Amino acid sequence: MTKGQKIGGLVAVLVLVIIGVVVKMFSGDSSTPAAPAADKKMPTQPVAEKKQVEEAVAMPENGKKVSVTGTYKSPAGMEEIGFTVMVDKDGMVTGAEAKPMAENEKSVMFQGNFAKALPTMITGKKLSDLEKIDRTGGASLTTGAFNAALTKLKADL
Amino acid sequence: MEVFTFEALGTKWNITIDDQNLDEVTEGLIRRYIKDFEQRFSRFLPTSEVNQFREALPGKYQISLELRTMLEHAEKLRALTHGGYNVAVGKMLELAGYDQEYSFEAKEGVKDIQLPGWSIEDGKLSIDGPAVFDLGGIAKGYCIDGVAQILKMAHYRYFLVEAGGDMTGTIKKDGTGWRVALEWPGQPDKAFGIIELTNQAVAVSDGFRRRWQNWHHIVNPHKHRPVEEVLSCVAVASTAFTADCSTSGLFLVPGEDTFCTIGRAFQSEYVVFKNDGTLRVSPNWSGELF
Repeated sequence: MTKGQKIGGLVAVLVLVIIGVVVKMFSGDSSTPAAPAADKKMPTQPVAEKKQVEEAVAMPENGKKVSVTGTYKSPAGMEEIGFTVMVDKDGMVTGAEAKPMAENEKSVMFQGNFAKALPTMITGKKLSDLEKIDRTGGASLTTGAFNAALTKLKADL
Repeated sequence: MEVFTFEALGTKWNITIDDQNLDEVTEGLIRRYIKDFEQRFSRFLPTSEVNQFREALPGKYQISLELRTMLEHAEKLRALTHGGYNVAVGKMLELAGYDQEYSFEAKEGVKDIQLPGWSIEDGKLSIDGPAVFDLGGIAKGYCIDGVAQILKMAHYRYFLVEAGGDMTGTIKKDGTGWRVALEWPGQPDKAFGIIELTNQAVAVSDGFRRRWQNWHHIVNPHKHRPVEEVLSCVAVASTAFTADCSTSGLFLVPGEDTFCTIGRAFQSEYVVFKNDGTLRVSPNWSGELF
């Protein structure tokens, strides 16, 4: 690759980043950029809960939606479980959703070196929705021996 | 395209050769290479080379060329991370409970242990006292490259070698790269991006698996505690070894501005997931993010 091509590529990437940010700004899914992925924080305690109060969407009048992310430890490591409950103006729980966490709560804020002033979000995609993938790279596949040992330890206790 | 799968080095290996199957002779060479590698460099095997300095007196010791190469890179990483990444952390990991018996029980002494001083001088290992080396974070990458080398010597040209989520690939027979989905940290059914490997490698590290009590396996020796600031990172480089070195460095950066120092040092592209819900992406990242 020549230097010219490289610079051209960088400019193209920069333009794409800016377009991406603009699209995000107008696509309406950036409603919570100030508090992205609070649930991605690693709890220091084995069990932790975090609550996030949001504006009501399709809710009882004056009600609120509360998302709760619980984290627990399993032989495979830390696992997260999330659910949302609807709370009315008197604080009564009126409903719950099993698969509640909005995609943007599961996202992280992306700040590339040349996009510092323009943070954007990535939200990920389901692996099953991706096409023509040869292999998956990821750390969940690294821990065979460790998990076997930990599972055995638990069985022995 | 048939995938040759086996277990070794405590993880699962997948070797894919485009339009061809792996012959038995090469398969045997690969299995023997990995087994030998584990026997020489695993902290969990008492007779391994990295365990020969447990009771050692201060001095200079002759070491194998492979150990020397790995320790030279580890020395560079130690400097880049201001001592954060230190392969002499073995004893601290053991006291934290990640020991040969897998006790997973942190001992009192973990708070007080000081790491031994070590360096590579004239190709020899110089230590100032007993040392336990843990090559976690660099050795798997080195081993993956070794397997790729065996495939090349056997005249395979279009292959992808993966071990536990880290991998190196040449190209496919049609000239395109290997498309690798990158797992969203902690969510194995979700991807955060795609990278196409053409004569490149990718490595991934995270600190939320391999947990016990309130510890995990990536430790900051200054704090005598596991690293919590970084959740996960992915690096792409020309070899699995340098990609692996990059993720180890990114995990233990001494400051925000140091991510790009690590990237430059190992000529890698990277994505870092921080525990505050933000992401750091290198300017040269060539993959997709979504």
